[in-house]
Amino acid sequence: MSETEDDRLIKALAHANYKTTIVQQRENLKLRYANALLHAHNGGIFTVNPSLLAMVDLLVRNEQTDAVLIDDKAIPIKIIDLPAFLDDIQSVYAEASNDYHVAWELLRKARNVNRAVNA
Amino acid sequence: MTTRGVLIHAHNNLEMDYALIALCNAFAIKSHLQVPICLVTDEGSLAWLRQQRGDLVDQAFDQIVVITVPIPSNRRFCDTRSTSRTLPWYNRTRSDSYALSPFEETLLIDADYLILDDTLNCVWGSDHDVMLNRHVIPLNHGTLSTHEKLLEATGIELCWATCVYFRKSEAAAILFDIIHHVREHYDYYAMIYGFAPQQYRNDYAFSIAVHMISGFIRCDDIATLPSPFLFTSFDCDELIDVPAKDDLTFLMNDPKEHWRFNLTRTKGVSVHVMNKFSLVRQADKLLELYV
Repeated sequence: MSETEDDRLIKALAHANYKTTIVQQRENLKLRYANALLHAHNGGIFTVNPSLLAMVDLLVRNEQTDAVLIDDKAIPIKIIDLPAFLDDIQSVYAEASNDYHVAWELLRKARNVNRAVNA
Repeated sequence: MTTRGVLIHAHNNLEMDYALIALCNAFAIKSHLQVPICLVTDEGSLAWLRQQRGDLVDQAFDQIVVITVPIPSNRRFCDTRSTSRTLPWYNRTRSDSYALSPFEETLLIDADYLILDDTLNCVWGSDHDVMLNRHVIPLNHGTLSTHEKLLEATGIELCWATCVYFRKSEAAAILFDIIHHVREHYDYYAMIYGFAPQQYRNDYAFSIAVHMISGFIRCDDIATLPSPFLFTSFDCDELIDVPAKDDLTFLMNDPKEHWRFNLTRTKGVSVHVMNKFSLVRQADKLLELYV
């Protein structure tokens, strides 16, 4: 039996609801990820991102043990043990990104509103 | 003197159990921030809380400061778009937080700002004497209306008093002195800054004080909190379930198309839940999960 126009409209609206929910849940994940990337050190607050990781890695590779880095609030912060700081920010980044990946994959596989909300 | 801690003000009115909301939040805070919590309340609210929740009160709060019931203003409390009640609102004591706080470093938070992650632990030992947020992100991640960004349509930038970090310092003392002054002369400042004076709002008093302390210009001298926005569900949204720890399910009402509702679920993110009625409805579940 062929679908009526009403049936097609119901399906389209259900899909619209699904898309709205997926977009919403993705935004929630992005927010959680952004918070998980925050790292406090010596009175400063840093968002751990690839450029911070690359910068600190470069300094450590150049055998620098301390440096001044500018934090999220534009405050210069003295880092006295760069290798330890690099270890810390690497684990913050890895943990946050892994959590983000796991949650994202669950959401990606959700094919209806119920699964998207319960992913 | 304890060095670091959270300060919550909670004064019940005839229908809204603020102290119960603070109790639920205190257990959530303890599980994420692991710092002592001080409750500022009045005798009536505390007696009711002890009568209803018994030993949990001393388990949740490390210190309780009892003050006389402040002067209320009337506020319309909404429980989604379908129900609203005009009730007394005892919100004038937050400007006394500097003097009331037993901590050297204090996180002053609204009872209904549910702390469901450890992001705020980044504030301890910060270089800043005061931190507060100027931005909110609504639950639907959509755009905000002007009155959620500015004091009035042509007014100064709004600072949110929902979550404020301060360290006992000269700068913080001055800021709170100005907030106190604005509170005491609210009608005058309402006229100067161009808003209606009927209802005292802490957000307005904090915003004016920050504006004044910044030399009457827009200035980012007072830093934002580590996460520079407050994730906020407005009172037209409803908290419908708490499926697990740090996990909230909301039914969101579309701000433009009021007939539309969408489900959303937040995990591991702190949320300002403005629909306090729905928060009270979920209180038993929250306590079950966090105690």
